[in-house]
Amino acid sequence: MGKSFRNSKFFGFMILAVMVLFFYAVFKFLSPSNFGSPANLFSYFQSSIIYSVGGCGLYFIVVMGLFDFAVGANIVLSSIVGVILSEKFGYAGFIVGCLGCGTLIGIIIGMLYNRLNVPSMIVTVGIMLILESVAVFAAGGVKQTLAPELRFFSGAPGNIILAFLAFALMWFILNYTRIGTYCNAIGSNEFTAKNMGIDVKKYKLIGFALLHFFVGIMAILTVSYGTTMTALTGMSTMSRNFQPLMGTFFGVAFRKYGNPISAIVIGEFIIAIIFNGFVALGAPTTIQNVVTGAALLAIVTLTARGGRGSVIK
Amino acid sequence: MPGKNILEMRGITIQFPGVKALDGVDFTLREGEIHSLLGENGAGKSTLIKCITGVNKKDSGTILLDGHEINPSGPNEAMSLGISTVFQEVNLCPNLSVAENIFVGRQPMKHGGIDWNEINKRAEELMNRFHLDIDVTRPLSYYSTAIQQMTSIARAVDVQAKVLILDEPTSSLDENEVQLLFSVMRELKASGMGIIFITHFLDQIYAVSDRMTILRNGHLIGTYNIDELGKVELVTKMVGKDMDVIFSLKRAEVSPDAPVMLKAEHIGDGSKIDDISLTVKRGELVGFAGLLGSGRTETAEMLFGAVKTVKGDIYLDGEKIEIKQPFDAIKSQLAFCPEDRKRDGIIGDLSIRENIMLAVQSRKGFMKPMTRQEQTELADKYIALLGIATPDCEKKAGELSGGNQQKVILARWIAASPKVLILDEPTRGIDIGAKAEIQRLMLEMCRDGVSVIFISSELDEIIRCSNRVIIMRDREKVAEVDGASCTQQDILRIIAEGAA
Repeated sequence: MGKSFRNSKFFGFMILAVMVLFFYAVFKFLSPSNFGSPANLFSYFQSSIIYSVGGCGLYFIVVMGLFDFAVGANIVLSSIVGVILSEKFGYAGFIVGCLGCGTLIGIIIGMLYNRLNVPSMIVTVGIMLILESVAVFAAGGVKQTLAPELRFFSGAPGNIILAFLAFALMWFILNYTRIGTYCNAIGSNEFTAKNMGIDVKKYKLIGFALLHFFVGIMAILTVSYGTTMTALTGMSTMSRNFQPLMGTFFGVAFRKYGNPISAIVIGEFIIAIIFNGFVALGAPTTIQNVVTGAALLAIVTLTARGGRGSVIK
Repeated sequence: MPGKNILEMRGITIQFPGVKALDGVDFTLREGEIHSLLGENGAGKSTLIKCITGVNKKDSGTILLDGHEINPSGPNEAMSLGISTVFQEVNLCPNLSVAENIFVGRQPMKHGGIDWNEINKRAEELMNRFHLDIDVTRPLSYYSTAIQQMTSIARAVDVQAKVLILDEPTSSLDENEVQLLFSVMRELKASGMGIIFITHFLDQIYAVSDRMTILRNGHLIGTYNIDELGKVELVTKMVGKDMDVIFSLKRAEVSPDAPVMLKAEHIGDGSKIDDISLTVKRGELVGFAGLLGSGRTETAEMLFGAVKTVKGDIYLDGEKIEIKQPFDAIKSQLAFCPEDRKRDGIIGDLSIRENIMLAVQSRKGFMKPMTRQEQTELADKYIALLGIATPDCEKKAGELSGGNQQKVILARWIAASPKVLILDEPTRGIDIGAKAEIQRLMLEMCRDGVSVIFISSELDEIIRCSNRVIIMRDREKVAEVDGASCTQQDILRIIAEGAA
């Protein structure tokens, strides 16, 4: 097999397809009646594309070597803001509320990160705690429910249309704007990127803003899918960060094949198959956390492992 | 007929805390000229380049580009003025394509999006100009270092540069790649570009340069036409001599039948060093002479396991030893003071006591921890023995002067009772008194039976202290001479011209 084939988009896609088939076959074999019907698979796919949208957003900052733990908190806050505005302005309030709140939070995080000059993890953990409290205040301690007449995005085709619009936007940004190239350059070597004329701070800010714009889309899909959103405190939103992040890691791992978006989408689908496979087997729900943790470690090990002799901190 | 001056630097002075990095240096570059900038480590070459590119701010002096005074605030502004730099390490993004790397930061746009067709077409044209027929859409990491270096140059050239600075561009290229680079340099020169070329390879200077400027210790030694100065004179001017300082040190006596303590046979690291063999007798001091980049440090790092040895054998006291990492070397009682003491030697945030006890504790094993009292006693003993200027052993090592930091590193290894001590530039950047003190310590250790490998750029101290001198050139051992009978001229001649 030639080196060029092993680096082709087709080869990368083939690896992902084989992974899908492998996990599908394993769980279908173990639980033939409860797992893997076409209807089940479509359901897994619909839930996975919500995380894929967040995964696409996270890709912009993860390729720059940054992290964001405020994603979950922003999903909750943006959903609540969107639902509150939808009560007065209908779909316009719902969409603008989610996207506007999400993006605004992203800009604030980016500005704080640039201004405070501390690691992104610390900034976003601090922001997460603040956003959780703001969400409780905004919701007034009450569960927010999306009106039944505003649930176009709760299922097919609305959720799929919106998600694919987000993927198309991501594809355009990565391939036809400077942002994609610059994010990759900054992730490769920030100092070099600066010397090549890239305004590193500006593009980090853009990265955070774009991430949280996608988080706004994810908020629309999340609250539409679940129909309600409850504000939580005590870092409870942290668990919402990891599933989109796993998709991002798939994207980072497969970007060398030139198709990070399909890797994010298929990667999230693989994770959904694993989750639902365990559920079909009757495994306790706590096993999901084990799967999340194990999958996170496995993906990070494969994608972010340092070279021989490198110092890992 | 010489071209007009394209870049003129007059009376450039740059002062860093405690040291004058450049002292009234003049430099001129002509249109259509390749001008080598030469000097040993610390001579001021990098500082001068950083001054041209705006990384270092000058304290006094003027820079004229095409007759107009410039004061670039950084590499980007310098580039916009027409001064491009290609660094030794490829300073591009390996995960971007060749074409992206050439145009990143200034991509042509079409209909609000990046014009990939234009980028790829122009990148291909540029690489063809350098006689390279490659797929410019592939990631840079896919290609060899030579092509990556050419991509850097293509980027530098495409910004309409008037001045191109090539900082050691050949250090990781093979001979064919060097020739390809030279042909590109000659083409650029023919097009009227002024090129500043920095290298430590003497043959390359004479192969491609029109003029050369030599710096030493921040001072301008002179600017010469290439046919005006022979290799021996060039090396003499680069290395310099300090005749005012005369030490009364005497080299250690080694009996002819003293046993061999360290023997390396045909060792190589698979990249920089191909085949080196050497022996060091018990109580002998072997000096390593050669220019920077000649392979001295790489050989020392292989012996200590800091760089993996992929071929050859190492014997200690007659027994073959396996050194895969520094820990193995320490266990075998080898010690190594690295060239860059701040980066690889001293741990500035730890106290003197902690720095000194590191190697001893490593040898004892961490199942046998030293008590605090033992550590303090050990540190105090070596502070007194080596005359480390400090109020107590709890002072942070990073707060000491360079000479005292070097003594702390020496103390660390002496305390570990090594059989072989490898010292890479232990006297660099320290005052003359501390230098003499460190040389005295080395010789005392030899008299106590320790074998010492001593690497230094200063030939006078190499000759003064060494029983034998191994001379390195272009990453090969080219000669081995007797320390007692050789002269600086002998060594300079071998460095310049090859084997004796």
